Amino acid sequence: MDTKQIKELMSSMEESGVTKIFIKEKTGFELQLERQLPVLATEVPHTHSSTNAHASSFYVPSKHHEFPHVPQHAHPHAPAAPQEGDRNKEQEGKFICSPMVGTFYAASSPEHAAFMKVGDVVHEGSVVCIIEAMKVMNEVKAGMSGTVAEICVENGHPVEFGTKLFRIV
Amino acid sequence: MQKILIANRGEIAVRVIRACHEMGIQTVAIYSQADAEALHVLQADEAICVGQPPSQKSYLKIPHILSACEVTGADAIHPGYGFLSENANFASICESCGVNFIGPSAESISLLGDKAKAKDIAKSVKCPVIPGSDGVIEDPTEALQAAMRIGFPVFIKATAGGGGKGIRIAHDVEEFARLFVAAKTEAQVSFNNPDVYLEKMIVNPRHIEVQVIGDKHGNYVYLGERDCTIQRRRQKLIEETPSPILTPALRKKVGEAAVAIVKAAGYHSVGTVEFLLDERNHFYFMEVNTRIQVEHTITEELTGIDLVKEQIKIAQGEKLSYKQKDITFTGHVVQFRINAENPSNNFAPSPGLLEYYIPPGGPHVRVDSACYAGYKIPPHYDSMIAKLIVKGKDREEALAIAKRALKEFYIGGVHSTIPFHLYMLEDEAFLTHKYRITYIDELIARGCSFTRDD
Repeated sequence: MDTKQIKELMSSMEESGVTKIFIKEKTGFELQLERQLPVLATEVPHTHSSTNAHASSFYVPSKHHEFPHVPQHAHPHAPAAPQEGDRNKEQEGKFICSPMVGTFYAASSPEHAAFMKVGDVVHEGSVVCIIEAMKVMNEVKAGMSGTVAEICVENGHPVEFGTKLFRIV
Repeated sequence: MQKILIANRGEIAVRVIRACHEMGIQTVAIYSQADAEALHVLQADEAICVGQPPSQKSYLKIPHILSACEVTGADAIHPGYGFLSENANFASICESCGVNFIGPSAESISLLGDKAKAKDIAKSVKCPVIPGSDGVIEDPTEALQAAMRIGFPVFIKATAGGGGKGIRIAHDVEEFARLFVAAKTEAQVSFNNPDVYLEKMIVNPRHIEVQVIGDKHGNYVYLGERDCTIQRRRQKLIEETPSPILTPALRKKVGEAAVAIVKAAGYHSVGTVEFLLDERNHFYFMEVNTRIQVEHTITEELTGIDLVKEQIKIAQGEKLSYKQKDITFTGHVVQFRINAENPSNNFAPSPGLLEYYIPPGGPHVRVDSACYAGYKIPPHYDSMIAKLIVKGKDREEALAIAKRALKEFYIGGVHSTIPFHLYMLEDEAFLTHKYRITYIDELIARGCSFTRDD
């Protein structure tokens, strides 16, 4: 193969999305081309029932793929999908973020309806969810006005400080 | 222990994570919003954001930290140094939440953290303490008698004072009589409390501290002393072990005194007993640090004992696997604190982007750091970039290795204390170890900018 052919091969890899090609010619010439993709968001497999709030893995620093000198495949943290979903597109609205570390509950108890559903209107003092920390149920207030456009966390899921809970427009 | 949450950041968090991983223990890092890209966050198995950048809102936020333990299922917390490591209340809360606090009991933190009580314990085991009046003195005649008994120069300190305020120094009988009255008046005006007490001023001391370690079964050992006399405004810059000025007899004496003190306090885990050594080589108890210290590293290199792993083992209830006679001190170890500070500008802090960071390597060179090229040193916390630890067969070799290592330590984008250390490595007083605790402050007062053009 000559340089021109190799360059053509490289462009068609990019176009087709193929990430790895290995070529071995009768002459003994061998060529391996490999493309590294940016790390994609993947679902973290975790068990969550209403009684077990332990996650097997947790949130990653938001710019982990920009860590200098860190091989991307070696990063131990996989982001949870809801947090990475807005990374690549413009997201409208503001977010109600978690003010503490704990477990997110959408309703005040399993028998009650969720505090919020998409389309509900919130005011500063509206209770939007419960975050349980150390067996204490804390009511979280909206702290802003608007309409619920998205519920960003699943019921019973652990949250950390700053985790986006609701998108408000 | 299956999983340890490290309630700290920076290089000590990295240090603890490394020990845990070597022991097969899972780790949880906590971080503030300013530390999302910190090395300890990258290295830990899990990481939880606990708050906004200010320490009060994150690294000191007890409810968030305990909650992080709960959601990750961590069964123990390592507090590192600083932050909550000597907070008896925090240790107590961990105990009541069933989380193993890797350190001493809340009770002994409380006891030894109280300077007056700690002094009483030292006295009870016949350890020399800094002479002083036993409490407040009101009558000027009595005070003068006490001052003469103690020996000049004498500090006259306001009980209600603090942070270096409300302190007068009397050098002789005449000065004392005058200053005693003035000090009481001043104390009344400034702190609304005229009570004063006396304390001997140890002139030109050296700072000698002893590393002690004890398990939960009453076994104790001292792991040698560290000489931390090179300080600037009470901030340590260079630490070494063994101390160049201690004789083997004095080493044993000070080591045994340190063990006696922590034993009397019912202490367990690692701890450090600090002493001042006066010009006649008499030592005086100062205080106990009930935590792992920044300079634990040099003791590790000298004795071959991993102090962080020992903390974890002790917390798990294991007995010490060695006795005093098993402890050996090999070679000479020195640590240089590389901080993001400008030594030619009064050590002004210099946070910011570390454009390049190339640490040294080679035999007997250890670098403990949480920095990397491209990392942005946040302004909210301490200014530490790295700790450079070198070991030689003697002090001369250790310093030769240090000079080589410091010269190949490339840091760009922020100021660092590397020029200060290179300056000291050519300083006559430092090389012949003829310096006392005020040496660096004196150099600065004389206008030294720690560059070789001086």
